[in-house]
Amino acid sequence: MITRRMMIAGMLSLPVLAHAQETAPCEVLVVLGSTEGSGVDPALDKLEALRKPPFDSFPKKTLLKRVELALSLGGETEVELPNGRKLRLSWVERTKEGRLRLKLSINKPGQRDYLPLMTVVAAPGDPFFVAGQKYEGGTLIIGVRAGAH
Amino acid sequence: MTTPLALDDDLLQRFYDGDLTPLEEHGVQAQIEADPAAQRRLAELGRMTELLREGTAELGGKLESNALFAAIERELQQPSRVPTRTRLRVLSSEWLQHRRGTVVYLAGTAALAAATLLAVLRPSTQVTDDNGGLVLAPGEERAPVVPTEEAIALHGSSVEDVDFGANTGTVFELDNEGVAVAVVWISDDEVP
Repeated sequence: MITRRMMIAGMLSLPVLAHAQETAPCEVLVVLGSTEGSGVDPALDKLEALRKPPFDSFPKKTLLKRVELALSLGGETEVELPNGRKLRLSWVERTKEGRLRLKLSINKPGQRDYLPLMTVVAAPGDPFFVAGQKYEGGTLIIGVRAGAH
Repeated sequence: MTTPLALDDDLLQRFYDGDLTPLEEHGVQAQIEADPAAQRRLAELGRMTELLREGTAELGGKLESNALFAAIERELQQPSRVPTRTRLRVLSSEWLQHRRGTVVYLAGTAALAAATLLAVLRPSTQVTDDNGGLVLAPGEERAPVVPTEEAIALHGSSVEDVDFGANTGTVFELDNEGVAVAVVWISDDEVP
């Protein structure tokens, strides 16, 4: 039998459930920047930051991987990188201004962490980048946009 | 009523770098607007910023990843290059460690300071001093275009905290049409 107290308790828990289930779209782009050759993948045209220094030092940019995710508030997701490392991304909170606070790490199981942890705050749809990993003679540039595409 | 801060080079540099509190920044901006010499010194900072930007673009055109990273680190340590607030803003890991927990605030004020600086340096007719630096016309009326902190907070991305582990890293903020884009660049010594 459902008592009034149980109903009230259930109603009180609803906002918590809604909070826990909030999701945000997220796009992860893995780009290989290279000084050999030239040409930029047309799929990267919208990322104007890649045309600015220091990214413009790579005349050739190839989109190796594009992953669309649904980040859960408080949840964690992984993206496998071409070099075998894993990018772990978690959405910590939405700030009062509406930006997303994200935590990101890059590591390879059983090996020393490449990037143990970083915390970034980004407006919905505004990108941030993590660059510097060596791969096939070039450099990996990882772009992340969350909250909107 | 607060006592105005002494408008020396250190204070101008802190204003330029966005290291002042909003209240201090407001007071210093008012002092600058009333002081042609300070305006000239700020203009010189702007000119050096442009030089640094050009230098960064030049080095960016010919270097590969780790060399570029090393070049950026070297660029940071050049004592002759005064500005640390540029279109390519570079924050060292040491800086982040030092400012841990206040990075967002500083990034916001830095953007505000930059916007303020642009407002101060944006004459309706550009005037240059003997050295080619931009200066303001005396008595020139200006309408500062200073975005609110709220507007700044709504756009762009910024790094709050980063643990580079055993690697060496640098945090950049690219200026993408007035919107900050956070970049973390980490050395990679491991052979995949």
